[in-house]
Amino acid sequence: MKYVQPPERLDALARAYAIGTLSPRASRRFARVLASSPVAAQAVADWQQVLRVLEDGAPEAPAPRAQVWLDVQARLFGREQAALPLRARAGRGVRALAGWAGGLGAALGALLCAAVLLARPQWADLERSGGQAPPSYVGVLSDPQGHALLATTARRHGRLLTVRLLHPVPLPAGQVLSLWAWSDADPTPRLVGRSPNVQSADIALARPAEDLLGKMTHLGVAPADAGPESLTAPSAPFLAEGPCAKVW
Amino acid sequence: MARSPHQPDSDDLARWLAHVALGDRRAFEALYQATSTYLMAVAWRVLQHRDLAEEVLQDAFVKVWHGAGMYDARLGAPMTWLINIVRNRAIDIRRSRAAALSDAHGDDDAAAPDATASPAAGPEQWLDTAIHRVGVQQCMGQLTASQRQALALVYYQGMSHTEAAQALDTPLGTTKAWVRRGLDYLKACLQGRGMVTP
Repeated sequence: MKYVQPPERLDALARAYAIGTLSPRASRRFARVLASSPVAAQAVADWQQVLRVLEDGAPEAPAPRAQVWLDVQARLFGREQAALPLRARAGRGVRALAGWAGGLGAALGALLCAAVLLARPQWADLERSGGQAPPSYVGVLSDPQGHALLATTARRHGRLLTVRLLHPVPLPAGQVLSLWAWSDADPTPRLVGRSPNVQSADIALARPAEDLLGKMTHLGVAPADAGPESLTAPSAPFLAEGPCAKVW
Repeated sequence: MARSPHQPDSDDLARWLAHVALGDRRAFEALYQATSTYLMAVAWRVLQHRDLAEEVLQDAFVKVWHGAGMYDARLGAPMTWLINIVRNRAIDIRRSRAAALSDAHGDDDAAAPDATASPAAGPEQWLDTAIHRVGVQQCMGQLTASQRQALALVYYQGMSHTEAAQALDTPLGTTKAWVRRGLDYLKACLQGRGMVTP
């Protein structure tokens, strides 16, 4: 902890790091300290806050050319994707897969979902205690990169739906997760309920799961305000989507 | 075409960053559209070279895509976080390409600073503008012109102490002391006015 004691030494290092006068080697070393020391990270943040004031003197500068954004996308997602307007790429993931391949896509999604749950039954609270798992509606919702983000489960005739986060979801304060369902026949999302952004939570369903989810083929989760007002449509893009599967 | 940089809403930036951390490309595009002109100015000030500044911007947004989850709202505003990514990358490039830049400022027209976009004023003027805008000119007035000049060169152009000492033709130790004193004055001044947390 030679970097963070005494405080004067830490302050001097933080100041030099923030303004950029440390040598590259010392800067890399101190960056490693920052990753493990909240005290050091706070000291740097304090100096960055001071320096931020100097940005108000920023002169006019040439705007970045349009090619820069295309190059950013090409580096991250490939040239072909970069050339497409974003709207044309909307609705990727499971929804796009299902739309693409029709019923086959939906069936494939449900199969994948069931396979995931067989491998990780704890995600959906489906551990068997020697007998059969209870008939349930389950979903494993993935982000646009295909990473499973959360799992949902509701007993077929139950009025509770459990949402279990598989990874933390960074939401701004005051926002919660809203869960939506839709079917291939009617792709308009219907609100299932809202869940706090915690590792595991139960949503009280307005009607039994069978009534709400019986005809649904897909689930999606989107950020929403925490207020009590009802939602008629998602107010933000879906963070994750997945098939709504019947497991019985 | 030069544009005046403006600062987007902090709440929007925080929300977009949260979505980017989840791989939301629409939020990523919104973040880019809202901040890229402002951040371009940060990079351009350090490098004074349009192509290199755009290269920095590109690198920075690739880093933002991969590292948005690292943003910690407790440690500062989202724009501060973004500015530091851009500025640090610009300083890295400035130092690693010092020789190339030196050439570029000489004979190579293709890589020369974009004269049409050059501001009329230099770092000292930028510092004065910032100080006046935030209303701390009285306490910063205690700094000598040389001290302000050293601080401006190091902050706005990302110069090392050695480079600033050479530019100002002063001993290295003196230059370091000027920069340190300038920053300490600024911090004390802002804290005294409740503009930053003590």
